[in-house]
Amino acid sequence: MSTLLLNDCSDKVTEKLSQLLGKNTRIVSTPFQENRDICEFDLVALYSDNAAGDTLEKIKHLRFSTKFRNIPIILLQPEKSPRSNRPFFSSGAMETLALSEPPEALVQILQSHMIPGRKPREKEMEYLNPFISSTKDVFSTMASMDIDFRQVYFQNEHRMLGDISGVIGLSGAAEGTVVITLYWELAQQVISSIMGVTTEEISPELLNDGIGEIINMISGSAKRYLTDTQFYFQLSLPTVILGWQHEIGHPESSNVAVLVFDYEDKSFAVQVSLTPGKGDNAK
Amino acid sequence: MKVIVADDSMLTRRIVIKYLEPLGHSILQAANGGEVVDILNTGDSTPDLILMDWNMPVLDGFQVLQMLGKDNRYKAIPIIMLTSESDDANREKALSAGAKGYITKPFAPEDLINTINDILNS
Repeated sequence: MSTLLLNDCSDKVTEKLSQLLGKNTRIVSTPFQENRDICEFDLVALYSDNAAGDTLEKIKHLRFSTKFRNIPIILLQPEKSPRSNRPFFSSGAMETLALSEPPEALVQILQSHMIPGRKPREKEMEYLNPFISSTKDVFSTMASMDIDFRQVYFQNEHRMLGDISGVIGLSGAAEGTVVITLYWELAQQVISSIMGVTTEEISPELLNDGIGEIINMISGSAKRYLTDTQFYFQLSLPTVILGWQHEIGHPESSNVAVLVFDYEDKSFAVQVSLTPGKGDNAK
Repeated sequence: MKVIVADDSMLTRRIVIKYLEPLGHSILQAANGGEVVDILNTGDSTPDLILMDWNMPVLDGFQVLQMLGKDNRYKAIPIIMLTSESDDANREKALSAGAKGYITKPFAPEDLINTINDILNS
């Protein structure tokens, strides 16, 4: 059974969707709540009949509350809006959907978003497991933080938003990119824990630099496990992307695995996009 | 002891300072391999030890390791690589080129201190 969370939907809209989706979808309909735990849902929808700023803010809060899980957010509107949907997408919505669409179309679109993401194959876990181990090792050794690996999924069209990302390019036999994305609070907590100081003592420069060094350590440490495989790579110098709820994009053809980790009630993601080299070139 | 810490990461340089200064070491910082060469060429005394990252801009750590190994003025300075390059091939490559120690990131402070003490006391 799929689970759908409706935010700010009237009884009439809730009833309509309930009838359309049938018994195979469990629907929870509530007023929007800023800090609600929504990780149990397969799909989250927000109803809005205007393009006011609070709609964008609500989408951003919902995206934050998904804790990097593969949970699409859909904006429901009464009619198709002539305005650009871009601001909603930039805030973290996957799609806007007009309730005036034919019922068959509504059902098809909603159900398509509730199909679970692809799980990695055994061969793909060969190169993902080293990144899971190395991420846990870096946090444990450098910051004395015991993190929990929660899940892995392949990104497809998932909107990945965060406040700070460390990016490192991989080249050589295998090629790709590894990205760590965190929200401010956890990023500050990690760096302050490494330095043994309070979060107030962490300068923006040290925070930026630190997140770059963390992705460098994660990738470098994973590399050791991939020696003599077709996933062996060389490290480049890391870069850091800053900006409140920025989005990390990848080329359309890339195969991006998202590793989700939790530390207490906070989460972060490591995205691994690694294309194996041909057998002859693999070290 | 006078120690050069060469790493393009400010975080790693600060971590090293945090652990070494209380032990009485004097730290000089370099953000890339070129700055290591500059410090050596302009400094008024030779350092007792260099802690050096591998992947750095301008000159990487391995290039500096090779350069200093060929320079009679500096080849006696012990160099410890402190790097994310974790695979055995790079470790052997660095040790063959003259590195006296090889610490991989992430690192525990005691590993750093013990390695430094072993090398300075040998």
